[in-house]
Parts: sequence; structure tokens; C-alpha cells
Amino acid sequence: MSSAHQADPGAAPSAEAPDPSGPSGPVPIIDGLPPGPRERLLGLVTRRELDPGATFMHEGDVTKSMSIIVRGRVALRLRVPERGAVTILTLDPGDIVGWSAIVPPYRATTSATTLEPTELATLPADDLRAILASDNEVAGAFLPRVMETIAARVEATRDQLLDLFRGAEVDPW
Amino acid sequence: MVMGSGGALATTPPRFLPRERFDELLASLGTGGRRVVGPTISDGAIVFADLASAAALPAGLTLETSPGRARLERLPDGPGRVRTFQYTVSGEGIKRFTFPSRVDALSMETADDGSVRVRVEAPAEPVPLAIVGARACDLAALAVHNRVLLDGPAVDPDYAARRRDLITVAVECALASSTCFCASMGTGPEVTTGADLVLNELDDGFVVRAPTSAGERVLAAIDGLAPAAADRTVVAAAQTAAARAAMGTSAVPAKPRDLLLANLDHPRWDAVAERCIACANCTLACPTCFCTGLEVQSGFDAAASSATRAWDSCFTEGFAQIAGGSFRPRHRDRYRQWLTHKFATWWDQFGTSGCIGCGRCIAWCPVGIDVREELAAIAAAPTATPSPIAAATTGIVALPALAPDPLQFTPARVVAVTPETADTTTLRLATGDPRILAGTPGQFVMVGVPAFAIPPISISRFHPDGIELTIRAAGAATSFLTRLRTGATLGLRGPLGRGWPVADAQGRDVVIVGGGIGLAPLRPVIDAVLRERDRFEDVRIYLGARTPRDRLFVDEIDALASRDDVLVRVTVDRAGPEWLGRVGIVTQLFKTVRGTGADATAFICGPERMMSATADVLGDLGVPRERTWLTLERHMECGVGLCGHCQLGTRFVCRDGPVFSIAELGEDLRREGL
Repeated sequence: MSSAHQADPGAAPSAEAPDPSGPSGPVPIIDGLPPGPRERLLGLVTRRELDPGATFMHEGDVTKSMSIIVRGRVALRLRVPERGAVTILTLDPGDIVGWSAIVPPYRATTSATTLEPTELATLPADDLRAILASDNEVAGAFLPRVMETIAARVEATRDQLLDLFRGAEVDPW
Repeated sequence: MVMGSGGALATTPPRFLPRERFDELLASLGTGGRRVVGPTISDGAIVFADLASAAALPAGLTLETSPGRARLERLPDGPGRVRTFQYTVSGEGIKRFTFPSRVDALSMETADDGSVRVRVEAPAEPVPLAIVGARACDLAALAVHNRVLLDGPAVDPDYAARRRDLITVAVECALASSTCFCASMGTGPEVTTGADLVLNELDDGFVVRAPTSAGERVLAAIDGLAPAAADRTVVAAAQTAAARAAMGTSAVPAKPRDLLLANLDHPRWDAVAERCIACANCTLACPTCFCTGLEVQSGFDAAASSATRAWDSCFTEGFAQIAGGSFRPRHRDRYRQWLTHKFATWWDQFGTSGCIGCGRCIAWCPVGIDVREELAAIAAAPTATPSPIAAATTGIVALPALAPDPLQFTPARVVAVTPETADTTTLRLATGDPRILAGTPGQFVMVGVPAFAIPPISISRFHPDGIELTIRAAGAATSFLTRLRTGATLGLRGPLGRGWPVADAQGRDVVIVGGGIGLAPLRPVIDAVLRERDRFEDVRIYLGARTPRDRLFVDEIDALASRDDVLVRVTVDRAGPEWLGRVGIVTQLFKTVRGTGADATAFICGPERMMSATADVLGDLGVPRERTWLTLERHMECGVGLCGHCQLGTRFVCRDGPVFSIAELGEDLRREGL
């Protein structure tokens, strides 16, 4: 729908985050860091293009990388034997997948599956942990952004726990 | 004959009515079949009842009251032992004569042809009434009821009928109980308004004044009443002055409204809740409490039912109950609601205090809670300084004009039924009633069918010949409504409330955020915006649902999403792998969207917590609080500000809302238990 908005002469510039210009386009989050940390982290980045339906992280496995979604949409899913796979959150461009790459015990807490053609900017877990341990400037710039992600997930999870849209248990009408 | 029978009269000199001639006063009052009631003794209490003669008055008795205690006692020996009004307030007062605890309200029936008829009971033609023995506080309470039940946007027809032909014979108190504080509230002990006759009791009779022509006519029918001698009027005035002196005039802190509104989080509310047992006695004894609820009675076949309007109390569990729970689950919440309503928000709603200082709530509280003590405790250690809170006004917003006869039902026929989800159905209703058709987005109707409670339902679409209601089966009534079939009829009352200010959003971006069934009241906004699409800038719609199967109006929303000129984002709380859309809470939808900001007007509807979180996010994006609108759900029975259930601080949600801006609601949106 972003293209639709661009077609509307009265509208503001695209209401949607812009599509990247290509594999060499900016990487969300990292692109907003100060020049030093930005360049050093970009040096670790590998770009990946995935088709819809690709599961690139498996719940319970050792997390081999952290990714930032550049384009597309990713579902985080949990295995519930009686229900099958349950999607508990979907992620959009600018979101982080695989924060467990830097948090012990370094095991994925969900599976991650693409829902659309998706481009990821991927940081290998070993390299990322090493630079965060050795480069205080990178750690100081990057870790707060990861914390934001985890905090937002916790907050959203609480609201989902409330199940606000559930039907009433007691109702006067 | 509201407030005095025949208007003010040039003051006539007080007369003297010898005690032995009191029956002549009763006879004069009873002329033409007028019913005369006054204080009598029943079950060890002073009770207003039919008064055939002065012999039924409580002679030689007084009423000792203190917190949690009221006992009849013998007057001491002496010449005063003959007195019949030597006490202050009776337990129940005179409220039940003008505002009975139960009145017939509605009858609903299904006719042989299946059509439903809802009839609003016309007020019974009351017998002309004279009340003898009302005190200054009782009359002040009547004046308060006049403000509430006659002077607002909607008139209570039953009260209006009962007040139409009423003569009041007041007695000025010659003493004060320990629970009395009318002098502090400015309502007594002197009788200054609302009485047709005023009596001051002496040992040998009564000094009688007639402030109105109706009172004067009553006196004129009693032969040969002499003017009261000066010594008698002096004694009478001295008695009243003594009562005033006994009470003092500082029983409540100055400006209790500002004090309470500034201290809604005071620890004293927790302390009083430790003692309050939420028995509702205070509200039943209070002469100004006016909250009522509808009780529906029905036969087993549910073909016909009747509804009674009965006194209700903000201390009961169900008073603030809606489908999602109760807004005042704790005793603390209910006591705070009651006290702040009486002393604070009543000013905002009606321009007067809701407390008139009779002290009944103190005497009749089984655990002896004293409102004066509670106010004093907060005043002694306020947690917040009473700030210059905006001066009290009647109503916080310009109230929309009510449709004519807002209490009358109109028939409507179900012409289409659309199941939306497993528990939600849209009924398309045909009606020719121009009042319903003139409704605006965000307004609601009360929906009546025999044998069920009458729920408020938001209008989910307007048609030239009717409306749509989208109803989730949550309780008995809504479950029944969702099972109606084409051809069924029901009764509608409305449209009610203040809707969305859609026109004010013209020339701006429009952000619409709906959660769950909350999309239903927003649908007319979407309709209105799309009807004049070029008058608005960007239009963005963000919707949340519990699961993909719980989404409403799926085809319509899909069609919207395919339009060039509307942005639609949908998320669900949980989903299976077949769902390729978004999962997460609705506020997360905003992070992928830029450009929502100071030029936007937002319309939000959903669970209150969702709306609050959405308003926060929109505020961070720069949407002004004055243009962030949401619609609140509260327990509503009347829809016009008369039944009291839907109060939120100074507001009646049904009448002043249900649509409010974040700026209007301020802190009240988040305050627990309000």
C-alpha cells in the first residue's frame, strides 16, 4: 500500500518504511549508530535473501546468528504439540531476530519463519559476541538497541497475556 | 407546583396555631382529597406515613443519633414533653414520596404476529400530596433532586409527575443531633426555600409562616388564627439559633470539592475501606442519592416482561459492571466514588453539592463511618494541595441536544443477519424513525426485547432506512440478540450520547485504531470519511483482533486494504501457521509507519487498556491530546444521565460521551477504580 500512498498527490511521503534500494541498502539499527561502531558492525554483516516459508532459526537450537530484517516479514513461532506451531509475534523491517545469539545460553527461544520474500542482515554469533566483549564503543552503542527490542517484546507479551479481546466471563447484558 | 406551590408571597405575619388545633391544619391540608403524610412511630422508628390526626405524631419522643446508632428516647419530664417534632431527621426521610424505591418502568411483549412492543409506563397520576414535618435538609434534598431529575437534558417523568402537586409543611429544628451538619452545608436549620408552610414548635403550639400562596390558602381555611405574639416568635427563632449553634458551621472542610479531587489517591481511602462493608445503607438513607437500575421480570415463556426501576447503589458489586469486568471492584473504589460524588463531582454535574448535611449516612452506617471524619482526615494531611482546579461547571462539554422523548422506544425490524465471528453478529434493522436515522457515528441505542436486560449497543452503520448493530454474545441479552432472525422485531431507544467529531478531522490525516469488537463503533467513522474522502488527508486504519477468526467485517476490510487511498494494517494476538498476516499487539503496527503526527486526528476504540496504550504511542508520534478521541464503555441503563451507573469522575459517560478526547479525560483514564 505504500505505492498507493505515493500515488496520492496530497499524501505525505510513503507512510510505510521505504523498501531498501537493494542488497547494499541501509541496514536498520546499525545504520543509525555512530560512524565507528557502524562500520565495524557492517564489516560483520552478511546479506541473505529468503523466500517465503523459510525457517532460518529453530526453537531450542544454538543461535548461530543475529539478524536484522531489512525487508519482508518474519513469524516467531512456538511448538505446542496439541496445537501445532503457534505464531506469537511477527516482525517487520527494523526488527531483530535472534537476540539469543548474545544472551546465554545462546539457544533460540522461538523458531523464525519468513512470511514474505525477506532480506536479512545477519551477524554471526561468534563474531558478534567477540566484538561486544572487546569493543566497548560497539557494545555501548549496539546493546541498548538490542535491549529496546527485548523490552518491547516483554511489554507486548504482557499485553497479549491479558487477552484483552477475549469474551466476557460475567456480563450484565 | 415544584418548589413551593404558588410562588413567593409578600411576607404575611406569622400566625400562632395552638397545639390542640393541629388537626385543623391537617384537615385543611387534606381538603379536596389531598393525601397528608407526616412522621409517625412504626417499629421503633420515626416513619413518614399517612397522618390522620395529630395523635399519630411522635409525641414526647426524641431521636438520639450518633455514628452507627439511632434510638428513640423519651423526652425529659417537663412542659416540653408534649412536643411532637422534638427530634431531627427521621431514618428514611421523605424521598420515597417523590422518588419511590420502585416504579413501573417498561412493559415488553411479543405479539401473536411476532412483533415486539416496548411500552414505557406513563407515570401514575399521583394523588395530590402534603408532606408534614419535612426539615430544612429534606427540602434542600428535594431541591437537589429537582436539579438532577428535572433541570438536566432529560427529565424523569415519574418524578416530575409526583412533584406536580405537592404541598410541603416544614418544621424548623429546635435541636440538633450529633450527626447533624446542615449548618455547615448551608442548607439549614432555618427553612429558607421549598416550603409552603414553616412551623416552629413551642410547648403550647406552633408559630406558622406561609412563604407561598399555597401555604397561605391552607392557613386561610383555618378559622381565626391570630398573629403570633412577639415573645413566641422570639423563642422560635432562639430555638433554631440554638440548633445552629449546637452544630457549628465547620463540620466539613472548606472547598471539599477541590480537596477531594486533588486527593483521589489519598491513603485514607484504603483506611476507610477497612471498615466499610459496602452494605449500601448510606445510599439508601441518603435523601439525594438517585441512582437506579432496571429489574426485568418475565414469565417462563419469555413472551412478555415488565421492568421496574429500582433504587440502586454504587456500593453494589454489579453497579459498575460491564462485559469485561467491574470498574470498581474494591470497597475503596466504591466508597471513594460515593464520597467524591456527594461532595465534589456533583458540583460539576449539577452545579450543587450532593450532600445536604442531614447525617443519615452517619447514623445508619452499621460500622459508624462518619463522612465528616473522613473529610477531616483528608483535609488534615492532604497528599496533594487542593489546586486551582477548574471551576465547577454543569457538564464538562457542550452536551448534544437529546432526541425528542429520549426515554421512548421505537420499533425496528431485523431485515438481515450477518454472522461475523463465532460469537458476533451484525443485525441490519429497518426503522422509519427519523430520530434513529438522524444519529451520528459513535452514538448508541438501547435495545429492548422481552425478558432480557436492555443493553446499550453502538451503531455500526447507518442506512437511509435503518441502522446496523454489531453485537457480541457476552451475556444473556446479547446472546439472545445475536440469535435473532430476519423478520424479528425489537425496540430501540436513542440514538444516545456524543459521537465522534468526524467533521473536525477534515483537512487532516485520520488515524483509526480498533481492537476486537471496538471496530463496530468505528465503522460509521470509516463510512463517513470514505464518503467524503477528498476532504481528508491520509487515512490509516489499524486493527487488532484476538485471532484471525475473530476479525470483524473481513470482506469490507479486505476491500479497504485494496484501495489506493487508505492504508490498512491488521494484527492478531495469536495465530496458527496458516495466518500470514501480522501477530502482535496493535500498537506495534505504528512502528512501521511514518508520517503520523501533529496533523492527525485519531479515533480509537477497544478495551480501555488498549486505547490507553494506543493514545500513548500516538502522543509520542505527536498527535495532539485534543484530537485523540476514544469511546468508553461503562455500565449504562438509562443513556441520558439519570440512572447514575456510568459515572467516570465528573462525567456521565452515556451523556457527556461515550466519545471523549484524551485531553478531556486527563488522568481519569488511568485512575484505578474510578
